[in-house]
Amino acid sequence: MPREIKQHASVIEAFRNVDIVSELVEQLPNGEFRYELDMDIILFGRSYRGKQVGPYCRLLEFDPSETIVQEGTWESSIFYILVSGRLEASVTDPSGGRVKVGEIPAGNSFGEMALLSGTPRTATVSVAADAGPAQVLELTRPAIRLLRKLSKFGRRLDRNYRDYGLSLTLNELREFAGGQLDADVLKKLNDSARFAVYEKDHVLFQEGDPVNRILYIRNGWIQRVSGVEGNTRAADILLETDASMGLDFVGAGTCLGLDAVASPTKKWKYTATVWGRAEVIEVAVSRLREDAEMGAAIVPFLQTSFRDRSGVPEHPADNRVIAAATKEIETGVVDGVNLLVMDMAKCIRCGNCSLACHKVHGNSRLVRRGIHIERPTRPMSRTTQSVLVPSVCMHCQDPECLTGCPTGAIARYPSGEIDIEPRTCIGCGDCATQCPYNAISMIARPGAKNDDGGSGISTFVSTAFSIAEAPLPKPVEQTENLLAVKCNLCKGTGLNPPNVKTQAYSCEENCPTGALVRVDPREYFDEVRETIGLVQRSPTHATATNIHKFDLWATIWHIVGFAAVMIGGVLAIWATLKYTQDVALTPGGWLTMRWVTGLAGLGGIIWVMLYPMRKQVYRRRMGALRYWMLSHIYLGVLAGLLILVHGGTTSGGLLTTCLMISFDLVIASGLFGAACYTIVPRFMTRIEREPLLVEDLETRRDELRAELARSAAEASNPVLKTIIEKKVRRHFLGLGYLLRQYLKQEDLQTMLASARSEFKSAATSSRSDDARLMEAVENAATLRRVDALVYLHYLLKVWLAPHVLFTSLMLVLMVIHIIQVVYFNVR
Amino acid sequence: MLSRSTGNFTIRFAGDEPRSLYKEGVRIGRLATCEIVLDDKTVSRIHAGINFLDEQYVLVNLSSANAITLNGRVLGPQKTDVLAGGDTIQIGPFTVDVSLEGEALRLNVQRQATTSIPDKPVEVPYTPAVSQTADVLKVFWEKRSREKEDWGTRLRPTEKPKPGKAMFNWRPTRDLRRPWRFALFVWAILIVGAVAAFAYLRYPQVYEPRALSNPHALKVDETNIAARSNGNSCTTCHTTNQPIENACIQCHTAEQFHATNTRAHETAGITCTVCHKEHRGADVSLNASAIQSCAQCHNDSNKETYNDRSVHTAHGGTYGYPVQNGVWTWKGVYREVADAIPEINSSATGDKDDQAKLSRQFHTVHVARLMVPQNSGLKGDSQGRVSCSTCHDKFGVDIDRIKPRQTCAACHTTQAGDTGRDQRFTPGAANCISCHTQHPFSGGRWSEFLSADALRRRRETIAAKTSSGGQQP
Repeated sequence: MPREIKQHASVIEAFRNVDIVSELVEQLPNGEFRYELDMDIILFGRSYRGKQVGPYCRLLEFDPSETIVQEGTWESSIFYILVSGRLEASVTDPSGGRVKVGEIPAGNSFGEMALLSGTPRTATVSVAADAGPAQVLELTRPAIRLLRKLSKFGRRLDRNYRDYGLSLTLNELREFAGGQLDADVLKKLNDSARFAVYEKDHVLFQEGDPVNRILYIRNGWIQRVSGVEGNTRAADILLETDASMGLDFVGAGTCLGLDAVASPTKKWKYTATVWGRAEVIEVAVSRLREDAEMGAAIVPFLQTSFRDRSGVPEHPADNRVIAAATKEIETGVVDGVNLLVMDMAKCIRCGNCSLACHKVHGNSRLVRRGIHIERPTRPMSRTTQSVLVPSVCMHCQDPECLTGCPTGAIARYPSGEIDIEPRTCIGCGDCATQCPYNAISMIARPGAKNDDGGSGISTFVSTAFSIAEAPLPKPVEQTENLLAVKCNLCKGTGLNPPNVKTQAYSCEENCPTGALVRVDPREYFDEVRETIGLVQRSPTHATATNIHKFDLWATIWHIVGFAAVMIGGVLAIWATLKYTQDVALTPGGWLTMRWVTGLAGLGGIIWVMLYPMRKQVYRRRMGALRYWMLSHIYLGVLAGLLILVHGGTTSGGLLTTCLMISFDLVIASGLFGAACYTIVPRFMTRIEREPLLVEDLETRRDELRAELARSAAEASNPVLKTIIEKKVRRHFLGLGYLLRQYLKQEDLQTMLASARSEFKSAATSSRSDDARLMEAVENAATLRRVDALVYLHYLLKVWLAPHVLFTSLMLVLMVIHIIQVVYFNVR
Repeated sequence: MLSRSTGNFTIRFAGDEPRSLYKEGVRIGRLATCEIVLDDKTVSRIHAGINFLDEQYVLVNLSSANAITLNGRVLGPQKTDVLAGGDTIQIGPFTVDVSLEGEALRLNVQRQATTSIPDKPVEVPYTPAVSQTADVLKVFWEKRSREKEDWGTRLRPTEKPKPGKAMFNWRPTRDLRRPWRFALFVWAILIVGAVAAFAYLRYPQVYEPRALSNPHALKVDETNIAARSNGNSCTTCHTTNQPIENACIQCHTAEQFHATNTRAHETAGITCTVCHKEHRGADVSLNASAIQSCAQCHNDSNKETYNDRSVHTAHGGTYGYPVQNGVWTWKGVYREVADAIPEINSSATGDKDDQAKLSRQFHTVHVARLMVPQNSGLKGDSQGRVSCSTCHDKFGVDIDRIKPRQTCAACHTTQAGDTGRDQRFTPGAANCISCHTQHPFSGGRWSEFLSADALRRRRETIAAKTSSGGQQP
């Protein structure tokens, strides 16, 4: 463990000794510090109205051989400046040994690359074994913002970023080439290449520009458009009408302009625009031509190794693929490291994911609305997949939320998740404002007075006996004493005890249908995967398989479950017909088919009842709920069959009759529910498009009702008033128009257009009245659409009550039945 | 000192000496009055301005027709952006490289644009100066403009999230409500518990359906009153589709037993289970308990009516043989019995009157069929059965009619109140059903009587009497 040197004088002295940051502690002739405020915060920290900010810096002394930065970890909130001592940088070679790659000179900074580009640590830095202890300044992310003002540091940081970026890329290329490129060529490439970072919307080049450089995209997203002059911003809209234009995207690991080296007068055949912050290596074509040796070595290598996108982008065969890719890249979900996606055709809107999050973390960080992407399951396929990326942290590769944090409380932690350290968070809300996805929310700081709820026994008693609808947790109203919370991938919870191999997320574990899964978007979205080449991948990227495409265990469950139901059912019926129910199977034995079917059915019921028990467990791993759900359904049906055989044609006295009836009702309501769960989400997604919460829809319904009533009430023209009250209401709010929603499943815009045209003839003479009428028509039609959705939401919930009720009844009767049977046989 | 609103502009055209200006702002355009004159057709007369505002240099596009490109990004008309060191402004064919030195802004102007030199590829510098590279970090710190959640669709509520600081405050959704409250189960357990406790105190028998009687519980391989063995099955009797009586009859229809009931009982709804009560214990005989149950209805204190008639204590309380006040009150065998046994119904020779018929029936029932009770002092035939001489001492014209009235009591010993000798409800003894036969085909008491052997014997006896010229019994 490093020792921290806390003496103020020593820290100031350390800064003074480092050239690039010495400006910070520079004293003016009058003895004042030039950057007093910044220095104060960085070195010692300040208290703003009771909230501690800083220090951003610690002076640490490391022993010889001690490791400061560990290769591969993804913590990126800290960088270092070497004050004195000798540090060595080493990397793991392919055989697993350590290879020294260089030394860090005193006075230099290191570790900032991970911080700036959001990548894992690329090398291990440790104190040289044969040297003395090293003094190192450890600086947190917010320090960079202040230190950047120092001209030397700013320049150095910038240069380091470039130099490291370039050499890292070349290292990657070298590793990838595996000996194809000799060191000489790489050295030359290093000298001639330029590392550039472009922001979103930057036009790299326009169609018709001469090709003066080749580009290797290290990171980010580039849109290529051909056949459009000038602004290509609306290219995706033009695409639908203009078959001559081409459009595609290229991502990391691709090269542009490679064929220009051979022909000097080459012009770009397309316009390339940056769609997400891009790190690009550029090499002047003239350089390659001048140095024929390098050109001859590098160009064929790039051409064969990476996706060479020198050709013209083609007109897409399926515009929907491009539309989906556009949305994925535009919204930035492709840059999520661990993206939560929901297949809305499977989502039964139960909200168990949100509840699971709430159970684990206290305040749910998952809201089931967000970015909706509709993508064809395969290009040219008629079926589309409706994907919801809800408002929950996707742990962006390059997180915006980190930018403004004044204390460095929000950071990327060593295993890759972005999390907020509650002890340092001052609740300023900057990260929440920055996050483009509303994935961060502010809660009352725990332990504060405003925590609701009484104490001890009285609370327990009141919750144990209150059957009124459970109150929702209170929304946070205060604006002071807050704490920012966000998804931390369930790190440090009971779901991920130390030393587990795979990650488990409460939301994913507790999705009963497998609609929700955490994925690496670059693998999940085919249309994006197509566009990327060599991709850097860290262990923290979500490794989940795309269970929306193929879920091995679910498939096994389906096959085994179906076979079990078929074989078990047929076997039971056959054996019962053969041996009859009450004749002992073995001479003199007690075991009859009634016992066999009864006991097997009981076993099935016990397993089936484990499902509701499993549903109570949120904080530990108990197997994914979706597999429990499948076993629940299949074993439920099998148990139902066996119990029916057990009862035979005579279902017994009052008790057994009630038992059998309640059991049948349980099975029937369960099968109805399973059918609802299978059909309704598909139906709902098709008419809803953008997924919404039921409370959103209900709020909207009230709004539309109010608007409709208002337009009738405010109509000055009595004719108009009659039309709205009689015709419009009767037409749109009738049963027929409701059924139309389900049967036609048309686009909302189309539906509103046809609704308007239906009432064109009813228009009156006054123009303002017409507008009012059309508004009423649209509101009424929309209201019916909202109604249709609300009813589907209810349908997904309503069957559960009888299912649970009959189950309770069945269980009580079953216990009595078992006691009786045992009693009469044991006596 | 310079005022805080005055900026320090250093302008240097390529190849010229730099010149410095201290102004609030500079103008860029084709006009000679501009501080930075860019002479080209594509440049507007006053194209752009750079103002020093709040200690920042702000670029403004003053042209309504022509664009400015800042770091490759188009700055629209009347749009502004803050300049930082390393920025590159592109106006027409001119590039203006921006660098900041302290508070001083340096502008390097050169007529150069990659697009204007079509055929000669322009080399990208490979050892970039700081001023050209500073945008790396600028991009890093700049907020990438992504739209926050879009509230566009018509299906969404129009109410917007709260403005101001509470905008990102945590709000619950309905997802966080559990579909079932724990209290429901608490109450369910309490209610079921209360009902159970009440039942235990008030109707304890609910909990005590004692064991099934052995004949129903055990495997009885051979029985002459049932078609098959029950073997402890519940559902044989307790079925959904029929009353229990029907289930009884389905089993208890045997060659020697027919579960017929007397008409009076049947019409009064006195079915099997009224008399034969199950679940009274393993060793409780359904037969015995049935016999014991006669007086539960047939007593004077039972005020209910059956078939519109009330029932009374049998024989006016003088239980026993059918004699009241010394007069024989026997009314003959039940019709069901008589129907089943032709010998009882009609004699070969015919009865001269009703009295003779009753007499014949009486003797048919008793003689050669019933065993003489042991230790009664009466003598039977060689097999111990009742014979003529068991009751009658003398035969012929002055047949003995006294002794029979005394010998009746040897079997029909019952005296009301004399519990020690009360045989009324004792199976196997002369009890109610000895005479008031319930199931005429009863395998127990009547089987022997109905057997082919018994019929043959009876015929032989009758034939012997007839041939010997003795009076008919």
